[in-house]
Amino acid sequence: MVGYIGRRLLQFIPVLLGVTLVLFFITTILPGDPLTLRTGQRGMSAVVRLQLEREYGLDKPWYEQYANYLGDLARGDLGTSIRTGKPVAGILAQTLPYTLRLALAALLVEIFVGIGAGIVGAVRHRSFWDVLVTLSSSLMAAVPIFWLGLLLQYFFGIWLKEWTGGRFYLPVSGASGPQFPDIAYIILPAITMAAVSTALAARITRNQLLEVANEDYIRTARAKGLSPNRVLWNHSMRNSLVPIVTFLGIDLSAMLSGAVLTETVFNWPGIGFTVYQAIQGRDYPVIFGAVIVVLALVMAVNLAVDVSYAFIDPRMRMGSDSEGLR
Amino acid sequence: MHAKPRIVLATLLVVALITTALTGSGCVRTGQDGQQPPSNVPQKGGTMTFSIGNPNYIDPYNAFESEGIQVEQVLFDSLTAFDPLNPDNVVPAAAESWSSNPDGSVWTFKLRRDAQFSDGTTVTASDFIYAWNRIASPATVNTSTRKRDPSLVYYHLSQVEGFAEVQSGDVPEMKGLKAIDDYTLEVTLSSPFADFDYVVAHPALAPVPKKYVQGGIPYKGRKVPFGDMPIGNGPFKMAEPWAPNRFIKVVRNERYKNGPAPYLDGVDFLIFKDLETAYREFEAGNLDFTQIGAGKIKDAQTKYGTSDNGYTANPGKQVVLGALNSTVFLVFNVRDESMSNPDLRRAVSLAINRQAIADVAFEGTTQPADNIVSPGIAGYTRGQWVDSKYDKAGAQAALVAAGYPNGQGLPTIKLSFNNDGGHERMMQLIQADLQAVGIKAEFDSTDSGAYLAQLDARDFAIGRLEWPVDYPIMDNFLYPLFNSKSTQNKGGYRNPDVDEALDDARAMTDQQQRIRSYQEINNTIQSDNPAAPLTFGRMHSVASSRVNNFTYSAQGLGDFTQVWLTESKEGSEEQ
Amino acid sequence: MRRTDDTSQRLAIPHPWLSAWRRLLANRPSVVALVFLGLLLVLAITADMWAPSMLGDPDTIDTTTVATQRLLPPSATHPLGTDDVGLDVLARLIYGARVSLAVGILAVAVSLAVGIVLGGASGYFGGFADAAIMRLADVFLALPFMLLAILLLAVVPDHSRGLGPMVLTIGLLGWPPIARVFRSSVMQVRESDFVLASRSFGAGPGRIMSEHIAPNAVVPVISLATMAVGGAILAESALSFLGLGVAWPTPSWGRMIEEGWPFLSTAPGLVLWPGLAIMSTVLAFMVIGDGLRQALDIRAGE
Repeated sequence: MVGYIGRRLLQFIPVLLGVTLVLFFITTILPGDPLTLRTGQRGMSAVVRLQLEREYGLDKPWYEQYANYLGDLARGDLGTSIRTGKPVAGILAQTLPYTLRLALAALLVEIFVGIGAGIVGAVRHRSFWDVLVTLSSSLMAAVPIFWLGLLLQYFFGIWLKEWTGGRFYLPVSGASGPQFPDIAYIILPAITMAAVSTALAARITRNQLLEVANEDYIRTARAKGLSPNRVLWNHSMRNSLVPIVTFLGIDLSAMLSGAVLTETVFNWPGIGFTVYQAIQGRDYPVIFGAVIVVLALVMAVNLAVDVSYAFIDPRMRMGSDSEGLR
Repeated sequence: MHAKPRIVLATLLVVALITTALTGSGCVRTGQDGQQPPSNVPQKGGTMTFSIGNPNYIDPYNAFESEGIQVEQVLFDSLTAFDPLNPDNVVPAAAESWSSNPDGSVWTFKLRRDAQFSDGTTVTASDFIYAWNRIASPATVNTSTRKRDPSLVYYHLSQVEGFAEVQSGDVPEMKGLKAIDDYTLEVTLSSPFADFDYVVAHPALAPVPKKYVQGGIPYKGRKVPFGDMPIGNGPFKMAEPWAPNRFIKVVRNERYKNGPAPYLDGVDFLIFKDLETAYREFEAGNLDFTQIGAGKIKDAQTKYGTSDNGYTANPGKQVVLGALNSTVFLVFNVRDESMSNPDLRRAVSLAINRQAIADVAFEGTTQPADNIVSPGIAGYTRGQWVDSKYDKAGAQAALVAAGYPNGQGLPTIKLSFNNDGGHERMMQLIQADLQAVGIKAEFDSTDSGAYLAQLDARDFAIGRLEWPVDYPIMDNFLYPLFNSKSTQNKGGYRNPDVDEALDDARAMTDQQQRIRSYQEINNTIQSDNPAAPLTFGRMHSVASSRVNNFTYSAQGLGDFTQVWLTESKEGSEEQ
Repeated sequence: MRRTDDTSQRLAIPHPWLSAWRRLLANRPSVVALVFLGLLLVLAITADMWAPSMLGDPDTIDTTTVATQRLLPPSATHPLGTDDVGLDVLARLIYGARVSLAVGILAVAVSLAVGIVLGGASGYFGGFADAAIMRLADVFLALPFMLLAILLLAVVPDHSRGLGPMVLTIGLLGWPPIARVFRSSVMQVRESDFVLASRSFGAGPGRIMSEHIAPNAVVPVISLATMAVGGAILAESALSFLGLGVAWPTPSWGRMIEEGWPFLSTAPGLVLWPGLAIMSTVLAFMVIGDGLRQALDIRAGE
């Protein structure tokens, strides 16, 4: 197991090299530069520009910058934001917790609502609830999430406020403020971020439980006279967990890298919003730092998912490769 | 037995009324005609909450973004100050008087003898010299990040003798700055500039205490970098180090002598990532001043009432919609093959329906521009740019004169702008207007970084720019935008007569004569149509109902020394 | 944004296309979806013939009337009202369908081309080629899609921002799921009796691939690709929403939502309608994809 984890961690290195190389290459063809942006239209003198270029190593050819960047990275230094002069690590330390908080809240919605609905759909197979779960999950998979976010803003922030005469509504922008407790700010973005995945989680749980229900050991368990509840929790769920956990893992990664849309719509001060602004500001160190951190998180989640199989399903413990598990 | 208390009460009431009337009428002095005297006595006390975006610098040496300047200007006083409501005037601040030699090339500033930094040390001429050399030097280090981070507002000092030598790194100090004694600062300019007293009013040119810049500020047993908790000579001082992304708290500086002590106990600058959130907080009663969110200006005017003079907020007249000292305009690249044709430039300017732009953006609160100089500037003349109006027939005639009747033979022209500033709608309207007279135009927009580089490389035909002035004087529009030597002259306009006249005007010490001269220069420039003014900038902010006599100036700076708070009627303080 | 369908990897055995088509037509949701897409396609293609005269020009602003014609509520002349520069919302919706459908279909065509070549090579040759290609797919799947797409599109100046850059960006980032499905399906077909038989008759790898393996192995890819069109339309709308879409004045649904956002409280229709258009179009592709999967699946047919 330890060897397996070690091997997986080593695999991260070539991916990291590949991704940073691709990013560096893109930056060489991107028009515009961060220093011009820093001053705005008043511009700066050649002397000042030269000083700043030297300070940030921008006067060197891109491969040399890349080598320097990797060197710093190996020492754990993510560099300095060119636009603000502040350390990238500090900027990420400020924004990453917001994204993690949002992703975890979304994951909770997904687990409770999605898997819950899936179980209801499977247990009450072909009932009204089952149809509802199936229909709404197909519908949600087709919804553009930024649009869903805007609709939620309209209904819970604007319409509800007018309808209740200003007594009850939800905050639709930002992550905190004196007006509401912090938890109120996360509700709508979390629902938005979780919506599509919740629908898929419901569908997968339902289909998986229905498929497992026809397996021999479930029939045996039922024949032994076990209560339907025990059959569901001890046998069916346990055997359906692998695909569900796989999905949750993929999904958490998708949430982290897709956070930019939800965060833009809700002005959520997370990493997606930060990168989006950094791309517009050509603030390369921030873009690189954020992508690397997101990538590391995604890898960590994938690894955690693969390792968790060993505990969910003992048959997989010796699986030497991740192939087929994604 | 019962009569006496009643008499006392009546006397008290009369005294109160008289006091109200007196202080109330006292306030009219600063306002304009028709402004109602505030109904109650200024009260001391209270903390005003004010929303800002996250600043990068509150250290004066790099005060260039509006967020940072907003905070920095309450912590520091420069030599002079802009009068918030009267653009013709610069008023004394750290300097009690000043004078120049006959051509405006040598300036002498007499500092107040009682002025102190908030720690109690005296402000002397050498504090200004240190601060200004810090701005000019390319080797200046940011005290917060400890990285070399030269000032980006050095251009304020580019006329001081010896500036070039300091910029090139040859010498550490500008030889044009001299401390005659502790309280006399003499500034020698490399060329005359009769408006230099406006330049030194800029918040960036404030004195800084060398001791704290270099050694940090002691705070709760540790040293805080100067850039995070600057010590200054302004009406307020930092209460605690700046909490990045959260707030900057300032409290009244009891040692402040440069002007009347503020009524406020302090100001909390709350940092918001976006306007919408801030405005929502305002509506919930948690903020005293903020910008109004998109699409909500009309609604806010109904709910909160509009300020009489456009700049000063009082209870019930809380929305300020005054013109800012800035102009949005199209700049023509006069070196471009098509745009070098002055008749074509005139055609473009006449083809644009500026009222439509004003109607679509900011709910009709912006004002179509009829001059490159904005209305808040002394010397602004209505309609001076004669081609800055919508005249479709005139545009068609100008196209004929340009040799392209109905646009025939004219290649497609690129409209350049930055696509991250919400300018799409304005440019779409312009494109439609040009199309309507036969000029085919296509968009060439990138984000601001690439766009600015593109302008500097003159790789454009028509670009969109906004010019907010640093100092509210005509020179600050005409010299940077149209002098052939200026780096801000993005279109490459060159008229030797204009260049010469601009330099001559700078040497005219008589203000009336100088302004007349700038008006003549402006007339020459407009006849060449190197630009097409579009709209004047306009503020759209609102104060809470407990805010009295708060002026938000055309320079976009809040005046926190005259404002006082009354208890809010809705009791929005409860949480 | 990119998810492989959980049940798409089924054993594929050759069967007549016609019976699959019949089974698809017996699936009621698929028929509804087909009719919807057909109608949308006809409307989008013929728009030039009737929309400008009936509804108004979808992309030419009249600045002399904009003050009175903007943000109008629905009426007989403007069934869905007008936007903030006085353009007819319904007309822009119909023209917007062109961009969505074109980007969706073309982007998936690019993904298919790359995915089938790489997935085919991976599945047929196995060994080092397989490992290398699958690692590459891993890297692509690990990359944050939206961020990379934003970065790539930021390179393109907007006057040259036609369909091309959008199609290439979405298409080139979307190949790994297709490659994976095609690879495993190739691996299964490769071992089937008829392939082994033709190999024993001396057919070369190129011929076996193009004549025997590809036509059969492609079956599971068909339904996946149909669903991927929906995914590509979603991606296009998101990127347009962020302002990176096809250049003005071409209407696109994502851009319409972005333009309508500031008027959410006063004219919610500006956001509502284009969103519904995206949702129903994506849903139609997903339903057809699902119907195709069932129709092509031998087990479902029996």
